[in-house]
Amino acid sequence: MQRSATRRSLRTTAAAIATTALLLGAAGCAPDQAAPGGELVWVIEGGNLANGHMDPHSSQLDVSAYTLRNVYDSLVFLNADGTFEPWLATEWAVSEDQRTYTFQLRQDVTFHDGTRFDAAAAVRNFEHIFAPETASAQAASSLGGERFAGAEATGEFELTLRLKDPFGPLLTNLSTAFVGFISPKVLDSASQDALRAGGPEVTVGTGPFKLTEYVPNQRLVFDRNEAYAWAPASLAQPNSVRLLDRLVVRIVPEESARYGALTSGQAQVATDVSQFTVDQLMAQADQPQSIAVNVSKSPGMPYSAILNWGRDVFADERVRDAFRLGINVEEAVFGVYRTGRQRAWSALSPSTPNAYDASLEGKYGYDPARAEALLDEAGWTERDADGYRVKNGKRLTAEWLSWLPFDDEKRALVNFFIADLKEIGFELRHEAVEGGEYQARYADGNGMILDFDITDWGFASLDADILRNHLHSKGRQNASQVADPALDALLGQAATLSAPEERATIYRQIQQWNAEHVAYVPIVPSTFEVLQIPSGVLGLQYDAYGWPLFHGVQYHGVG
Amino acid sequence: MTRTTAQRVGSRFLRPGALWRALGRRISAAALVLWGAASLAFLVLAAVPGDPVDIMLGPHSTASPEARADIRERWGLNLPLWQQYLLALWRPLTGDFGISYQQQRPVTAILAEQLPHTLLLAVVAMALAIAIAVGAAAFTRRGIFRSIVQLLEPVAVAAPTFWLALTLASVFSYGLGWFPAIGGNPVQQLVLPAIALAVPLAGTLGQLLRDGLDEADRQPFAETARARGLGTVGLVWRHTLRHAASGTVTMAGTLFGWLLGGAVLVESVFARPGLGRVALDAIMGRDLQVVMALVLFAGVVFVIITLVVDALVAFLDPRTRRGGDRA
Amino acid sequence: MSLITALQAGQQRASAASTWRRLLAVAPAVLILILVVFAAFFPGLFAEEANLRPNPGAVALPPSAEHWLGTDLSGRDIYTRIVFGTGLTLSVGIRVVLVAGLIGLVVGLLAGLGPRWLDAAITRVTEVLLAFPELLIALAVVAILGRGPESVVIGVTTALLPAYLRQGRVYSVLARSTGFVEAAKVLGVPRRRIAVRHIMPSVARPLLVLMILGFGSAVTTAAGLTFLGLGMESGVDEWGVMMQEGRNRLGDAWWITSMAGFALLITVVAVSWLGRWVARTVQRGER
Repeated sequence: MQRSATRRSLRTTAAAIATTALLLGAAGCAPDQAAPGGELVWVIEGGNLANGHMDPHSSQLDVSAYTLRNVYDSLVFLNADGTFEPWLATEWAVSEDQRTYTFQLRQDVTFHDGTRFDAAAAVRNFEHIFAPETASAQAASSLGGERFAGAEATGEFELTLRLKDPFGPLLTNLSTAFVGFISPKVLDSASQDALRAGGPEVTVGTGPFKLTEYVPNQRLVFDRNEAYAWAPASLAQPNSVRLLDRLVVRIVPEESARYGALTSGQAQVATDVSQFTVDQLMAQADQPQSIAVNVSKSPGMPYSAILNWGRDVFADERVRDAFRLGINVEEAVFGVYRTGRQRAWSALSPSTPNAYDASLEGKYGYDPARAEALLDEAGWTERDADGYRVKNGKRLTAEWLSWLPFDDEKRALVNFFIADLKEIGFELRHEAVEGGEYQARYADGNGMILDFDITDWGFASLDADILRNHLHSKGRQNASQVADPALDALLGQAATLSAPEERATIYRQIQQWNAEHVAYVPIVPSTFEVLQIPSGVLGLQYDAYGWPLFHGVQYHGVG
Repeated sequence: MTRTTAQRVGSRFLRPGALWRALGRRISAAALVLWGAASLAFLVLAAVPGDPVDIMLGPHSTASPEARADIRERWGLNLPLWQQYLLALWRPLTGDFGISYQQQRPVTAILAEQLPHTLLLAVVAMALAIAIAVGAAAFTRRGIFRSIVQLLEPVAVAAPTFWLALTLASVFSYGLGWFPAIGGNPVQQLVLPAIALAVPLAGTLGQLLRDGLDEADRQPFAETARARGLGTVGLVWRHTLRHAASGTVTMAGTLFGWLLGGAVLVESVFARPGLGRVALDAIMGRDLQVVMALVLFAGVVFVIITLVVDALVAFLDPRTRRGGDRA
Repeated sequence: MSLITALQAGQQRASAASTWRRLLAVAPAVLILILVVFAAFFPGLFAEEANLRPNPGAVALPPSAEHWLGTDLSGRDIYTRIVFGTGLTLSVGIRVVLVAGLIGLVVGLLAGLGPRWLDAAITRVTEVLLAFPELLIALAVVAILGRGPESVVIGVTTALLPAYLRQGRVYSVLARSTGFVEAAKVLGVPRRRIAVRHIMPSVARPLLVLMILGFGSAVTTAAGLTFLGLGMESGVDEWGVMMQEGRNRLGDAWWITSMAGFALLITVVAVSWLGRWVARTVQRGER
């Protein structure tokens, strides 16, 4: 009796286990059906978006701009060929002295919460950008910073922007999502903290999509704005076309997961993938059913090593030059990116409109002999036991500080540089720390701390004026601590002019200046890749940054 | 320790008055533990370098000092430390768990949203681990299977969770495509992460169980049972498993804490929502409110589990049930 | 030869044979550990330091005759990195268990021998620490102290400490109530002598076992910390770091992560094998 009871209970247990296993197996094998008719999943890395970067007016992160582009419109749209198209503004005029811009606004635009878009609403937005609590990290300076005198509603649908001095890049920067328009009702009622945190109640714009759900670090869900009728001409679609109903942006930290999601059909569009993945895909490009890659070379400042002149090591220009000549950037970039990218030679990347100085290509390349000579000249003649140069008992060391996340490719680059510099007796040490710690060592808000010899970044920008942030003595991101009045004058002049050729000439001079004095060492231009599945997604377009625009996308779900 | 305590508690099941006293003692001890944990968490967070305001603003923020001071004041970060500490202790008692300054929404909302995912993962992983461990230990008492399993167990224990997770994801998800990388139904989403968590646990539990079973086998009652003709399986099921289980169940309590830690790794790899990632972000971001809430939550869970475990042990171990002789 | 002598001789031979068998059971683990320890102290015997140099032309190469275990994302030879990383990887684990064991011993003795309130206090503190998940404790500590081997050691020690505290206390209390100690107390033997001669050995033995078995836990937890970004600094030659570096290339360059992973696995398994053998021998000795 005991025996049979035991056997029965055992049989039941075994049956339960087997059934569970079968169920799990069956569930695991069933393919996930793609949503029919109009729901697209876009996977991004999305780091830092949740840390208060959901307000484009205050954020400086690219991810804020390209995700929130779906919700916020701009005054004008910048075409690939550099011309401007009406968007929320139907026409505009610039005064003779280039200090006054007058925009006629569309009269049929409403925000997602029903508020009307008019000149008053626009003015409210400009006020918000320059308000102290907003702590704008990019929008304000992209509108000229101190040059911006104010915005005024000179008519119900007429907006006037005034500048203290002419500012060439103004119109270009007005086309970005950083200067997108938030509903004035939200601006008046929500706190700045709430705006930065984001959410369906505060992320309210005029865009083709509304933010209907936001789970920080997980996903953003955008639903189509049915009332949207004011797309720029290039992006507009005839009414007959059935556009995307819903865009789901999924935040996925692991790169292999993003790529895996795309290949397995969980996502249809992906960004933030490694060069290696891109290379693989390009190699398969001619095969049918292969994933399509759109690679755009980011205009603006390439990924560079910023040298801090304020500390002992790099105060001497010869040492800076030796650093630049002592690293074999070409081989390093090839080792990491293969043929996918060429090294950067200049302070601006080649795709920056009307500015790139191609004459710098090939100059100041890898020259260890010259680097060693320079270091000897600078007095670093003795060596210590490990082979590094010493002067007055101090070793020749440079501390390189980066912030996390720091991807594998950059890490490999740094490793190569460390090895190269070791050969000429220069010690390079690298550390990548959390955003908060990085910020603490970068600046304390009262003055610059800049606790590093080298830091690194690239900065995508549609206009070469971005250099003013980095090289002007009063620049907001002047980590090199450059203070050259002649350079300041050049930068100011270039910002004031509007004729592209004149500006280009000056920017060439500025790039030469950097090549001579080495404020930063350009390493490799940044790129922005967008991957999409081979079929089913139509109408995906790209803006001047190379960021995807979902305005006119149709998605025919594949079962 | 727990066995002795359980024996004491178990025997007192027979006397109601003493039961309440015992319960009261436990609860006051638990309150002490919670207070200690909360204080420790506060101290730890106060010591993490980096200004929370900087973390909120992100790298290369060009916020003016006034703007920073404004943020600081709004979050009560300029209060003296001891005041912040008292507030941190007082508020949860009133049900106010504060607002996460990273995500700018109530902490309770974050917990309510993320907890079920982690809990589900932990429970499934635990169940899986127990099933594997019991199967491995109980059904491979002798012979070549025993040797094989004995060889595999230390490997299972030694395998780092994140490596397991990465490899499983790489092979079965991105490689063979059997499981979705993101999305999919809840069952699909659970399988690989649960396996990654369960394997090391199963190894540990299996070893413990096996040792317990071996030990129990040597006891006199086992010989008696065998003499009465009880087969191996019956013996295992009715007698020795109970003995061995009490030791394992005790461990299982603390192993649940390990699971929560492992969840951090697994949730990172599989991009799963859950408390693990929330905890990681909060620690790195010095998000005081979130960390305090998590600490209190962990403390409460731990206390509950300890109570449950003690009760279970008292129930399982026949020696304590009778409330009599110690072995 | 008399029957008794013959029987005795037979018994001796039998026990010698079983001793031989027992030693054989643990021999592979010991061999592996000897190799590993040698690699930790004399890496130059096993590999050439020159191969540690990053090489842009040799990025992510698969295992071959020239690179036995392949190369990593910076073109460094993986086999060489593993060999030169042995010391750092192991030292973290060893330091953790040594410190934890020592603290466990001292605190255990204090709890067992000291006044009741001390015992109660120590138990409470242990419970507080037990309430937190291990990994998160270690994470918080490294978040405070910054990355690097020192912080990792302190963090992981703190995380694994409760188990040692509890063991120390339990065995100390158990030992205290044995007949030996009661008798010694009655006889007026000074406390310290009781502690050292009677109690400490019975506490130290299980702690030693816990230390050996805990080594694996310590090293694996450290690797987990590194994976999350709050552990060892990137770029150093350490097995956890190497595993983290290759995590995006598991699909094609799996050797970058997995070789270091196998090294870790083998070492930890060998140590735990040894540990269980020691535990069983100690148990047998006590019986």
